[in-house]
Amino acid sequence: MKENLRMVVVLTCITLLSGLILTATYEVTAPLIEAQQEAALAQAVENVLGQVTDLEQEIIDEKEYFLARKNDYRVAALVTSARGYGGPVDVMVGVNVSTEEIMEIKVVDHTETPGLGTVIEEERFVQHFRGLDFKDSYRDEVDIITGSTVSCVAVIRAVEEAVALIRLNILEEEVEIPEDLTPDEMREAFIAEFVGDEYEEFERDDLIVYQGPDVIALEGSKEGYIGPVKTILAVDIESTELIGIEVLDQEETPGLGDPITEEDFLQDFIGQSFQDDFRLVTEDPEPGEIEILSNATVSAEAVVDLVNHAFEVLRNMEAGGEF
Amino acid sequence: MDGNIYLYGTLTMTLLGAAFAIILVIVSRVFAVEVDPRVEKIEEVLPGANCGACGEAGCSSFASGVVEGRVPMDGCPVGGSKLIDMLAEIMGQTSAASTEERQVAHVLCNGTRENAVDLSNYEGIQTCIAAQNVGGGSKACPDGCLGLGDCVRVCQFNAAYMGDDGIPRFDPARCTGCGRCVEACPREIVHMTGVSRRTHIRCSARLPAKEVRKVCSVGCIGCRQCVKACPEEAIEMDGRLARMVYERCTHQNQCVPACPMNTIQYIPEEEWVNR
Amino acid sequence: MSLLNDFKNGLWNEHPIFRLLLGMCPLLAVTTTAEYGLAMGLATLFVIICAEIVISLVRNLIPKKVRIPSFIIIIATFVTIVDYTMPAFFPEIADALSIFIPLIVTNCLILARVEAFASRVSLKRAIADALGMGIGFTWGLVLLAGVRELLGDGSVFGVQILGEGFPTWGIMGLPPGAYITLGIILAVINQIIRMRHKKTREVS
Repeated sequence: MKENLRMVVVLTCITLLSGLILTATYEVTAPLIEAQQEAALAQAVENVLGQVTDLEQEIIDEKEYFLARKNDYRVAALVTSARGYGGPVDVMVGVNVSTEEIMEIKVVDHTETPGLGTVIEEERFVQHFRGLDFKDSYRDEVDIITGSTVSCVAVIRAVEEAVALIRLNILEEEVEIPEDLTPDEMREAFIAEFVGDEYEEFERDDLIVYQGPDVIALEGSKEGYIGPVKTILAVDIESTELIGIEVLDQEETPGLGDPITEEDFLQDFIGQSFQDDFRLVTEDPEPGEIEILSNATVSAEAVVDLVNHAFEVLRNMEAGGEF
Repeated sequence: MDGNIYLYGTLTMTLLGAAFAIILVIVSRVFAVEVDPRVEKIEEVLPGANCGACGEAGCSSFASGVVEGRVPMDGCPVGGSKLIDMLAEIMGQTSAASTEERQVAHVLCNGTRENAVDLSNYEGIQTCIAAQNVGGGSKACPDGCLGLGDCVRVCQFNAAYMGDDGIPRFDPARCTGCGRCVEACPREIVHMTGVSRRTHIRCSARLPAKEVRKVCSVGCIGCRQCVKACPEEAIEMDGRLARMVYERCTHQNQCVPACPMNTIQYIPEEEWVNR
Repeated sequence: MSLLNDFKNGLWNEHPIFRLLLGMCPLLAVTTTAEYGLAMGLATLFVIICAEIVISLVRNLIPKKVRIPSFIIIIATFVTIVDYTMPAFFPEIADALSIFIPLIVTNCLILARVEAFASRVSLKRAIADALGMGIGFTWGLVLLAGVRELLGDGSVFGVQILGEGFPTWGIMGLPPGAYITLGIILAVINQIIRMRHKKTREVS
C-alpha cells in the first residue's frame, strides 16, 4: 500500500511541477512568439509592397486585406491559397489598386517537392507576374515550368483569386470569384437556374433525378482518374436537348484532370438531344462528339459516360411515359 | 483566462498525473504477475550479448531458465567461471564449476601457404562452406584449413582474425569460448581447449602417411613417436592421427622434438597473438 | 569507467546515430540543410542534458513501476519548453522543424539513455553521458544534413560552396536522399571501424 501511495504521490508531484514550469515558460514566450509572428507578417507585406505608409488591416468576408499607400498610389496585399501538388500553396499578392497592376507576389507557404515544385519561390517564375494588369486569367501570361506544372498552376490560380477579390472588395467591381463552391451550393444554384423551384426528387439507376415541369436534371458520378467525378446535367423536356451541365465534385489531378470543370470542355455537350449518345474523338469534334482532352482522358471519359448513362435513363423514362 | 493560466495549466497536468497514477496502481494490482526477483538479478550479471551460445533464445531466457532449473548454471560459455560464481551466489549455492578452466578456440591445422601444397586455384565464392561443397578449395589436403575465414566472420567478439599465412588465429584474451567458430568450420578443425594449454598437435589429416607427405610439410604421418615420447600418456592415436588428450598433458613437451614432421608445437603465451 | 569515457562513448563508440541507430525519425526528416540539422541537434542536446540531470537527481525517489511515465513527463516538459522558446527566438527554424520539435519526446535516443543510464548512475556520469550522446547526435545530424545540402543545393550552412554550374541533386532534398546518404555514411563508418580493428591487432 505504501508503495502504491508513493507511486501516486510521485507522479502527481512530477506533473504538478511540470505544469508550473510549462505555464511559466508559456507566459514568458507567448508575447515573444506573437511579436515574431507580427514581424514575419509585416516582413511578408513589405516583401510584396515595399516601403509603404498608412498600413492598416481590414477584414472583409473573413479575409485579411493589408491596405496602404505608396507615394500617391493605393496598394493592397492579401494571402490566397490554391491546391498544389503537395498541399495548399499560400501566395501573398501585392497589387497597386490605383493602376490596377500586380506589384509583386511571394509564395509564403507550400509543401511542394523540393527541387521541382519549389521553383515557384524563385525569381525566374515570380518575375512573370510583376506589372501584369488585372485580368480574369493569367494562364497565357505566365510561363509554366516543366516538371512543376501543378505547382505553377496553383500559384496562378491563387493570384487569379487574389486579383478577383481585390476587384470585388476594394474596387467594388462586379466580378466572379473563381472560388470553389461546395458541391451542394453548386447543385442548388444549378437546379435553381435550370429546373426552377418546383420539382420532384427521386432516384433512378444510380442517378438522382430532379424532375420539374419543363426541365429534368440528373445527377450521378463515375470513376475518374483518382476518384469519383460527380456531374449534374439538365435536359429540356420539349426539345429533348441538353441545356446545362456542371461538374460538381472531382478529385482529379490539379492542372491536368480539372479542365473537365471548365467551360471550354463542357460547352460541347450543350444542345445535344438525349436520343443520341456522345462519342469521344481525338480531334475536330462534330455535334455529338466530344474531343478528348490530352492529359485528362480518363477524367473526360467519366463525364461522357455519365452523360450517356443519363441519356439512357431519360430514354427509358420517355418510353415509360413518365413525361 | 490569462490570469488563470497558471491555475488551469498546472491543475490540468496535476489532475492528469494523479488520475493516471491511480489507474496504474489499479492496473498493477489487477494484473500483477509474480516474477522471481532472481531472474532480474541474473539478467543484470549476464554478458547481455544475446549470442545464443547457451542454446537459449537470449540472455533473458537463459536467466529464467537458470531460475527454473531448466538450464545449468555453467551454460553460458561467454561469462566463464566468474559468471558461474555470480550465478551461484544469486541462486544461493556454492559454485560447482568454478574451478573449470576457460575454453578458447584453436585451429588444429598448420597448413599455411608455405606448408601446405595447393592442388588447384579456387576462385569461387570466398567462404569455407562454399569451397568445401564445391570441391574442397585450393589445398590438396582434404582435412586442412580452407583459409577462407568462416570462423573469423562468425566471431561476435572480434577474437578471430585471419593470419597473413592463411590460417586463422584466435586471441585468447578476447575469445569467450562461445563455440560459434567450431560450428562454422566445415572441416571440424576448430577445437575448444583450456586457455592454459600451450602444446598442440596442429594437424587433423586422416590420410595415409604417404599421402600426408605429398600434401603438407607439417602433417601428422601417424608414426607414434609422440605417443612413445609422452611420459603422461597424454597422446592417443585416433586411427592414423595423433590426438592430444589435454586433461593429461602437463606440458613436459617431450613430444615436440620427437615429432619428425614438426606437427606438434609448443607456443608460449606471448606468441599467441603475434603469430 | 571514467567520466571522459562516458563522454567519449556517445561521440564515437556508441554513437547514437551511426552505431546505435537511434532517433531515425528526426534524422531522416529534418536534415535537408545543415542549419536545420544543427538546430535539431541542439534542441535534442538541450532536452537530453536537462532530462538526464533531473532524472539522475530524482532516480531514487521514483518508484520502479512508474518510472517510464515519470521519465516521459520529465522529457516532455523540457521538449515543450523548447517548443515554446524556439518560435519566440528563431521563428524560421521553428517553422522548418515544425512537428519534429514536439516529436523529440518520442526520440528513442533520449528515453533509452535516461532509462539505461541516467536512472542508474550518479549525476556526474549522467551529465557526461548526456553531453556525449547529445553532441554525438548533433554532429551526426550536421554531417548528414551537410552532405545533403551540399549535393542538393551546392551550399553548406547557406554558404555557396559548389559553383553555379553544379547540377544540384534534387533527390537529396527528398526522403530517399536521406536514406541513401545515411546508408553510405553507415557503410563508410563501418569500414573505418573494421580497419581500425585490424590495425590494433597488427600493432599488438
